[in-house]
Amino acid sequence: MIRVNNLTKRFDDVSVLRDISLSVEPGEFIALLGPSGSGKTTLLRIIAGLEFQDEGEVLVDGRDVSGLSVRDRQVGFVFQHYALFRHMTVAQNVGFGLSVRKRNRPPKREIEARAQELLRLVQLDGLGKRYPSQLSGGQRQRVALARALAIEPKLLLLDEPFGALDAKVRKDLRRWLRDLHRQMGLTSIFVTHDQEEALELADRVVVMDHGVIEQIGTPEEIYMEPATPFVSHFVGETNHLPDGLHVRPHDLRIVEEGGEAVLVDNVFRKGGVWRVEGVLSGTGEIVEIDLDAGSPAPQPGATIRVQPLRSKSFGG
Amino acid sequence: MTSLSLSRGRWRQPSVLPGFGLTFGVSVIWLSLIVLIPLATIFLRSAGMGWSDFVAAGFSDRALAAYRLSFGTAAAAGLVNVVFGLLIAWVLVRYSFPGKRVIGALVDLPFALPTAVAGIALTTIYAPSGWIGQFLDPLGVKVAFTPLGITIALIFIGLPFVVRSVEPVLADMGLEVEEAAATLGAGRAQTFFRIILPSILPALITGFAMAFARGVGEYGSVIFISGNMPGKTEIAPLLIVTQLEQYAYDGATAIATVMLVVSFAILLLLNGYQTLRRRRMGA
Ligand SMILES: Nc1ncnc2c1ncn2[C@@H]1O[C@H](COP(=O)(O)OP(=O)(O)O)[C@@H](O)[C@H]1O
Ligand SMILES: [Mg+2]
Repeated sequence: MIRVNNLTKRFDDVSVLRDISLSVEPGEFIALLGPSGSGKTTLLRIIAGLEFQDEGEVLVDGRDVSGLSVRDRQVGFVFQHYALFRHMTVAQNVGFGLSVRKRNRPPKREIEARAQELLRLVQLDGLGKRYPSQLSGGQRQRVALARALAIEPKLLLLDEPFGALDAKVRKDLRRWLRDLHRQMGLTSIFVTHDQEEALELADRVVVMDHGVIEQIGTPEEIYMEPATPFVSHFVGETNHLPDGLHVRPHDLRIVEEGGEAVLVDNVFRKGGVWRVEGVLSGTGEIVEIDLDAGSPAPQPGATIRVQPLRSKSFGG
Repeated sequence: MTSLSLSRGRWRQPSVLPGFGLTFGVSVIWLSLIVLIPLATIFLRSAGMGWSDFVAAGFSDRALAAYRLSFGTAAAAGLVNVVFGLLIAWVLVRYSFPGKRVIGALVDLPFALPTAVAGIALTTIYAPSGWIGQFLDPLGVKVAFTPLGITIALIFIGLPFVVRSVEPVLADMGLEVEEAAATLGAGRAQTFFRIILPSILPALITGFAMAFARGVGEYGSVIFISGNMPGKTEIAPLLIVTQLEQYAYDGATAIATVMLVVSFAILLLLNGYQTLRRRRMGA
């Protein structure tokens, strides 16, 4: 089990992390979600031992690892840009962690066999003799993962693992990573700024902003019960209705009487729904509404009235 | 037509910029005017000498000693520069400290300084009564007027080549691969010898090759510190000048030809290794 207690980090007097506390249960898949610059990478690096906190502690199975160097922590770290060793073959990259062991280093044969095994696991069998420059982005990503798994880490940390990949590869790799995590019984933390990714993959999501944890919860909780206006905004789409009401586009419906008047700007198909874009007559705020694709779509220029089915209030 | 366009396709990389023919043509003409034709005249002249005359002048005992000295000291100086040039490049890339710009400029100074000035300065310092020489002399270490002195002059001349070729590669490599090695359990030495050194090896070899080539041909800074004793501390370029001064043009040409061939072979070898390595890595 990993526990982070009241972590603080400053770079040149600028607070990057403030009073961060969280715990990770064995087998959990945790997402650190937040906009760029919110301190996700820094937190991940401190947990790995690549960076050191100013205050607070990191406990692994109850033991403070703050004094332990990165090489002794046995965490797998997958870097945002993979950081593969360009002068080594794929198999040598994967075997590196075993080949630098000081104590009980396996014989060369065994390292090679283990590398092959891991490459099969990440579906790259047969590519062991290639060099990283001869692989696609998605393949490099999986080499980086296999390399990190070779040391049998207690904890797997991934920094924006899909950040540099195109949409299709991303989607495939996501699901595959989720399966691998379950299959191998890993404990993993991954960083992302993509809320969809976090909600789809993680057991629990840690939402961060400006070095502070805004909310920790299951994807369901984060989406349905956002704890702060920031979370409601950052996770999923949100409309601002008067009186501090935050409403999801699919939680609005058209009514004959009452509700709020909306001047329709634009209507288009978005997947299985009509997406209506308009302006609140009262406040001038932009509103987005999702309507059942089976229902008639309002015309641009028309004025409709909408009412929330469900909303979250954050005060005036 | 088809075969022509095919063979053209193999030679040129497709590019958004037109003008392969023009740029390639200018390059060839330029290289010919500046490098090839002057060098060719040396070969032509030595070809007119007759074989036995050529061997007599180009492979005399005095000439052989001069080659050994020139190539030996240039190689030694190149190797020393590989070690210390890497160290300096490392410091310049990895650390920021006051005066960093000054150090950066200092590295390039051997490029700018008239080499004779460097030679005179080094001789003054390393002569038995000089600043540094007075401490080395009692230890029995003689620098001025020995091969060691020549090597030191060549180290001075060659340093910028190694620093400047390694620096961008080190900067480009960044910290992440080192951190990756550390997370995988590698210690400092393992990270240096298995990750950093192989990554910058091509740049080191390029730096060595340039420093070495420069050292082999260096004249100005060496003649003051070397003492110029035939067969002992007489470098090959000096031997050529000596021959010229005695109007022994054939002799000078023969020695120049031998130096050219050997230098070219060594540079070709180093370049060939680089190409092989690049091709293997598919980059
Ligand atoms: N080594 C560093 N030195 C100074 N500032 C840093 C350093 N690393 C990160 N920062 C700053 O800390 C903040 C958080 O960075 P980071 O953890 O990388 O955010 P994220 O990964 O969420 O985008 C940013 O403002 C960034 O500029
Ligand atoms: Mg980041």
